[in-house]
Amino acid sequence: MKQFKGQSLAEYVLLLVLVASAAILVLRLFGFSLRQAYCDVGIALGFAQACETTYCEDDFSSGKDSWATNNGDSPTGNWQFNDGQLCATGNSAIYNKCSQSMTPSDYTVKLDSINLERGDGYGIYFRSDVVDGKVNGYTFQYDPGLGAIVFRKWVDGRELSPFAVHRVPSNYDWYGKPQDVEVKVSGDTFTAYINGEPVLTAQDSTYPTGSAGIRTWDNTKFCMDGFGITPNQP
Amino acid sequence: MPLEQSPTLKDFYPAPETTQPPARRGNKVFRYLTACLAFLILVLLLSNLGQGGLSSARGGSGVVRGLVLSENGLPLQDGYVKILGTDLTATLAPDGTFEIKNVPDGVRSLVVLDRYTGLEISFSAISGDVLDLGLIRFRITAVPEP
Repeated sequence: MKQFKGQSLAEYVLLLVLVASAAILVLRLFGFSLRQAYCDVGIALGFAQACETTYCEDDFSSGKDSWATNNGDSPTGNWQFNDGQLCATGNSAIYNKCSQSMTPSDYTVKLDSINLERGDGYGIYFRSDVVDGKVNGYTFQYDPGLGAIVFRKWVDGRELSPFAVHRVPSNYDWYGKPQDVEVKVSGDTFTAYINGEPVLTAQDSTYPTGSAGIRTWDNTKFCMDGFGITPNQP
Repeated sequence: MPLEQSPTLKDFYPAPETTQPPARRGNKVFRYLTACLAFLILVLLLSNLGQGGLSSARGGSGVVRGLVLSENGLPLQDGYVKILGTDLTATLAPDGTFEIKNVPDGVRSLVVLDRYTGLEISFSAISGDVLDLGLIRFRITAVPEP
């Protein structure tokens, strides 16, 4: 009689599948993104373009169709989309429609060359959702009115006291200089960057998912050249 | 062979035992490993599920109550309170008091909201207990409360 030694190919395949499944589940359990891991390795090996995807993007050259107000309406006269720029005045908020259908909960929101010309400041909504015209989520605020940059939480359309504040020196010049502003949202940790430099980090776990937008208030006026939401870079 | 010398059925009875080759040690280890991995995956699947909605179903609940006054010491008008991460809300009574039942165990955030702003307060809910937060001054600050 022929004696079979060792395992069959099917058994080896089964073992490999089980090991791979266990590994993936362990990673998921600890909140590790497999996609992010591939990207990290790719970037480390010099293949950054492999992960250079963009979730949402607007260079403001095609009007205001990508944006909606709290009530889902098209942005009003406070928001002017002209010549590849978005300029805003007054007291209002708009939300990026693309981000409202976006799956990832971790991302980086980018405002390109935003220039505050006057007023009390502007904010970037993230992990936010609007229900019945009321927003729940977070904002990062570039806030001369407070003399600080802050992270703030929103509940049922009401703004709460900031949960993270970086006081800015009183002689800081808030106005008239285009800046690239980013908010990196990763798990329960949020980091704001101005011109690539981290300026404020905060943690909160109230809202695990949600979309992005822009707000302005009081007598603010600003213009910006682009808006984007990208995967986080390590 | 003459017929007399040919074997009878008795010669074949009892039938010779068919002996299986003993399982090799390697096979046993392999199957043990596979079974362990399958069990591990089952546990991990349940853990992943548990991180979602199932985890919130564990444990008991308590009651939280308090009194909200505005900065000038009067009961906050048109205000309500809400437990973040849940659907639990309560309208403030005319005297500024509130009570919320069925607050899930653990560290929670209560927010007091008026028409435009809100105040967040952390507390720990304990199963079966009534937690009195006492007087809450509704004061909005530009920086986090100490």
